[in-house]
Amino acid sequence: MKIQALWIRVGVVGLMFTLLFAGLTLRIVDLQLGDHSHLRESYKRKVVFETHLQGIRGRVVDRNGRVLALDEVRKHIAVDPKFVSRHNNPERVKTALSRYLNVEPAIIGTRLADTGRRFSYLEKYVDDHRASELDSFLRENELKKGVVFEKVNTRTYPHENLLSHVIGFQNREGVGSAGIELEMDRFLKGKGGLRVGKKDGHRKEMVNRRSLQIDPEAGADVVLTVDQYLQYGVEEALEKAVSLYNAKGAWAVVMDSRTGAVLALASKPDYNLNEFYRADPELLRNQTIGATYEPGSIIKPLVFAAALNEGLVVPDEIIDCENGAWIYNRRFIHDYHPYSELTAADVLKKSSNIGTAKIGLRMNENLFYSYLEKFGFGRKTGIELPGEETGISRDPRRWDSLTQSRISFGHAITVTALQMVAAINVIANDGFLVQPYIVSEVRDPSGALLYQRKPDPRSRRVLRPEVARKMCTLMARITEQGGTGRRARFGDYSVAGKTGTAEKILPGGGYSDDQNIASFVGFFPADNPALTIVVSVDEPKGDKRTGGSVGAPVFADIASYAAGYLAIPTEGF
Amino acid sequence: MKKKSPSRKTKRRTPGKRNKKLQAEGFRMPATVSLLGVLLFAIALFYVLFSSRTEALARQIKIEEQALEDLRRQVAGEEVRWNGLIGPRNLNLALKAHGLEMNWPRPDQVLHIRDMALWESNAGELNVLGQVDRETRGYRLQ
Repeated sequence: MKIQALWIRVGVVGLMFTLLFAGLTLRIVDLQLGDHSHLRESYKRKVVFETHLQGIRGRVVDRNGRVLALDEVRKHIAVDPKFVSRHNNPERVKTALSRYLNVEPAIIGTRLADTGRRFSYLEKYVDDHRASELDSFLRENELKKGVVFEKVNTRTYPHENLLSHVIGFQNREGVGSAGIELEMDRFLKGKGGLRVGKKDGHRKEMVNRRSLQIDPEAGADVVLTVDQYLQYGVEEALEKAVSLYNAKGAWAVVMDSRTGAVLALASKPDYNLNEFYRADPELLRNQTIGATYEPGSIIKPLVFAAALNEGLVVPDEIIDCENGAWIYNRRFIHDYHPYSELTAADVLKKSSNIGTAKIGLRMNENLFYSYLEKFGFGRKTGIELPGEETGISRDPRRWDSLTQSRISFGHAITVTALQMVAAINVIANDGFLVQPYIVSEVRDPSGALLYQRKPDPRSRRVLRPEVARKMCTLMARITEQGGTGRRARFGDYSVAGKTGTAEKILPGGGYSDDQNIASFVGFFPADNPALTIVVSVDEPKGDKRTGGSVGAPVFADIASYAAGYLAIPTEGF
Repeated sequence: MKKKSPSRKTKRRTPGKRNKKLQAEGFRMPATVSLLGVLLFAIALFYVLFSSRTEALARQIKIEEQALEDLRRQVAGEEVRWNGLIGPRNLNLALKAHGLEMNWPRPDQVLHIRDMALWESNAGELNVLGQVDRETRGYRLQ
């Protein structure tokens, strides 16, 4: 009887278990095969995660491999005020945070007092070193609870303002937005990766449940042709000029005469790349390629060279300079200093507008324009920088009766500083036009070459070599005694160059009396050029505002620094 | 006359009655079920072992990944600091702080080597390539 009862009980329990398991099995089958997409979605949301892994952005380095821009991990420091108030000591936390953060203690106190909130940022983009110190301090003093350290990848520019207009910046979304960062973004940006996996109840990843891992790829390094130390020298010289002449700004380009490699390119005022968002939008413009202006007299050597190349002028011939005022097509052309007669060579040396206009007018309009085109005016140089302007060089069909004479002394045409340095460099480079470039190569993280610039300095001939050499000699006279560019000389070097003073055009038309751009463009050593440099000072103040008194000394400052730094022999390389 | 052992008769089991002891011993798991059970147990054991092993490895991977990330972060941080330190502005400040005034060498103090093959074949013998300028006590270009 007892055994029977036992069996019955066992049977009942067994049946219950069987039913239970059958029920569970049915439920499992139902969950697996039934239409429960909402449950699956809910499960996925809670457990399955997809993380996009950010590829490290490539670095920007100078010609010697010195880092100019790179990715760095920084931290956002935040607090959970509610948690701090319950599990920590808000007063001590405030004291600790105020020791390490650049935030007023009162602000920290206010944020911590807002206990209705669960998250409040205190300081963003704190460098890793400072964040680590704060973290250690909080841990040692058991104050970490409720203080959040959020990792964030950020672009850092170790030299802040240096080369700001060249390097540009990456915006907060990780996209290159100016300068090289924008132009070479396709190389610099890494390839993102993907991680798919599951999280546990503490919302931590279960690494053994990773179902997909695509590693991110780091971006390539961009190697520039610029040299940061030379750039520094150039920027210092420009800063000094802006301060000395109380100018609105200044800019300069230093280029290798033989290859077109840009060794320095600076524009003042500039901005701190690490705080680009604070900069006035006007400061973001790279004046060397983004500002177009009438070049003034610095264009004269090119007009002279074109006429010389066509055999339309002889350096020794006498040109009537009309005692400083000449009526051409019922309009006056004036000279800064009046001259009666000058040799053609002296027209250049003394920078006579009248003499140069007469030389320029010896060419017919189409020939004259063809030289402007050959020197590269009216089109972009093609340098690897965004925002380059073409300048204005109108077709002869749109010229009036005065245009050609005006262009001869640098009016009725606008250029960028980079166009100007490339054009003058034709004379320095035996008559060949070289394309300026600033990116020398791009290498992936393994060192493999992805892009390399191979300059072709002998592809576009503009002037015959003997004409170019003659022009070097004539331009060297400009920096000698009696020339307008005497102050461009330095040390034992022979300097060839040209001064230029261009009055600014007023918005309503006409030229300003007190606003001008003082420039000097030249190269050295004159008989075997190594570097070609253009310098422009925007709106210098004072009695002397000409290219000779403002532009030439700045050129000398930059050139002497470059000559010393690059150890350029007095007779050239 | 031999007396028949009574026990044989008396001990003979009556039909229908079973020896409980023998009956208990008779409950044997079928071999296939036993094997299946053992197999399942082994699989479960291996699963647990492998699972704990993979979890341990996963933890290790996570630690290594974190360490790698930290090292990368440190390298980037050091690179930023180092490049800032050797940047031209800081070098200039350092020179000023130590009261040092430096000038570039004069052109006649600089030796330019144009023929690298010749230089390499005469390594260390500068006078092969440069001519000592007695006035400036430097090297003059060839």
